[in-house]
Amino acid sequence: MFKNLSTQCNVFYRLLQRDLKVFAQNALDNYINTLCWVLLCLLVYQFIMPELGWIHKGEFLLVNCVISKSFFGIMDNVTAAVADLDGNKSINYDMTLPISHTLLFVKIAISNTIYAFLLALMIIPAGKLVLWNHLHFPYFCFPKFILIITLSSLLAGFFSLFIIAITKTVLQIEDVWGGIIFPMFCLGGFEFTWKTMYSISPVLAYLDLCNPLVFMFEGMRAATLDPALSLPFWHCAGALILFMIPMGYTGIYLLKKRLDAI
Amino acid sequence: MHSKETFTTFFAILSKDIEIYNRRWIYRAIDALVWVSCVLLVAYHIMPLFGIENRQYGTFTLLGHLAVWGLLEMLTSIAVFLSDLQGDRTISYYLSLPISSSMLFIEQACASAYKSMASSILILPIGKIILGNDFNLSAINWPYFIIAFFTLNMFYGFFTLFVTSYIPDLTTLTMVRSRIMFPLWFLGGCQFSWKMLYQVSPIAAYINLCNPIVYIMDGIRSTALPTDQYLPFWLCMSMLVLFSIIFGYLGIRKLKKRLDCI
Repeated sequence: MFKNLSTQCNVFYRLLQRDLKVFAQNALDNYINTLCWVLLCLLVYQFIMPELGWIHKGEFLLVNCVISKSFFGIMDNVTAAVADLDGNKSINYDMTLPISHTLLFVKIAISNTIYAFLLALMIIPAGKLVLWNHLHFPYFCFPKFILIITLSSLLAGFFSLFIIAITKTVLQIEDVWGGIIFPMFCLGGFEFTWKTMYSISPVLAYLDLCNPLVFMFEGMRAATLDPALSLPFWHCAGALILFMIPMGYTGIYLLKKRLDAI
Repeated sequence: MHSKETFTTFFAILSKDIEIYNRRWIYRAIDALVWVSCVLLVAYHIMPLFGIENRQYGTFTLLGHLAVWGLLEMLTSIAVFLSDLQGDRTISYYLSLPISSSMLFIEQACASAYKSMASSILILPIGKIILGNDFNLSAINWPYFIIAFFTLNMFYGFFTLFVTSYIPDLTTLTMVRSRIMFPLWFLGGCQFSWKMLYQVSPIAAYINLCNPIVYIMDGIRSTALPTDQYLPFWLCMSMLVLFSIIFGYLGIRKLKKRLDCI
């Protein structure tokens, strides 16, 4: 049994290594794409939106961009995975390897997690390069910052399994963007805090707690900005772990069903 | 120059494309509605708490997102075109019909324009439901609005040809989203008008005149909001026609070369 387990771990590790090599090959392109996103968000929200009366500036948006990237980052791999399932089905080869199918799908989630984590990690340095002295982080807590990116990326990684399972063709990716990803993102608090939403409509605010992105954004703000702005950090971290379990279970279950895995 | 047979074939292919799209119309229309509802709920109810107190901001956001939906719909059209090129190449059959290759590509642009028009048509009614009395339908200059709606979607149709002609395969779509769509959209005035940008930085504003989305945003907003805050309507429409001709010409030329058309 233990020999089998060690073989499975070895295959898991090798497959993960392969995915990271692919990531490294495309790293420059990915980082340029990320830079475009950060640069434009910051320029618009720091310099143009104040003309409309917008009170929050660069720091607020920058930390939200970190979470956006850890969430959106998975979509590149989701598209590739859906295209594969729709076309060559090269995943069939991975499924013949001596690794349980559950572990194989966990590998996909972890691989997407690492991908999203590495992309999200470079947002703050990129933002600092753009805005330099305009940025101030007196409440920045580095361990909490790393922890919340890790948890957010993990949740995004397991969420990616769910999206891969329900998206039948590459053409449906746009439906996923429009119907699932964007609403979650928009109502998750990219531009506002949960407390602001609560002051407008407590019912909506409590309903919004079903959206895991609320905890990602709030947790990130609690780790980097004035904690009074957001929900308590440890509540957010706990909620993300809680979301991860049903998300991972459902994603793996649906993928197994779709691929007739055992 | 073009025989009656050419036009018959042109309209036959167009009506086939429209019929195929209409089967999926409801899904895309729902995507558009979900998207705009989320954006409006945030812009209209939450953004005022962040300092944006202009009552017209809801209408401003609604019209901006109505206009930009075509840019998102473009991605689907590009994905369909590329998946065909990489897969079945059904386009080879259409190129064998009694229609010139240029006319076939123009038909593709028209079909693409129809898709973005059809899927965004319900955005205005949902906007009225959410914004209520703050969105005054009688303030809209309807003839101008219809001209703008038609012109901007035709622009998207030809822009689709141009972008498609330069994309090698489906995996590059992410790059198109990050490096072309998002910068054009975000700098094109999704959250500000050209005159606001001019107040912040005249140089950036003049450079931004090379971005066709600026004319789309200012053009459609000027049909319902005070015209003195936007670029002149006819200037916007003329520039969109000019951009459509340029992108159409370049796109068709490149596609002909790519598909070895005569």
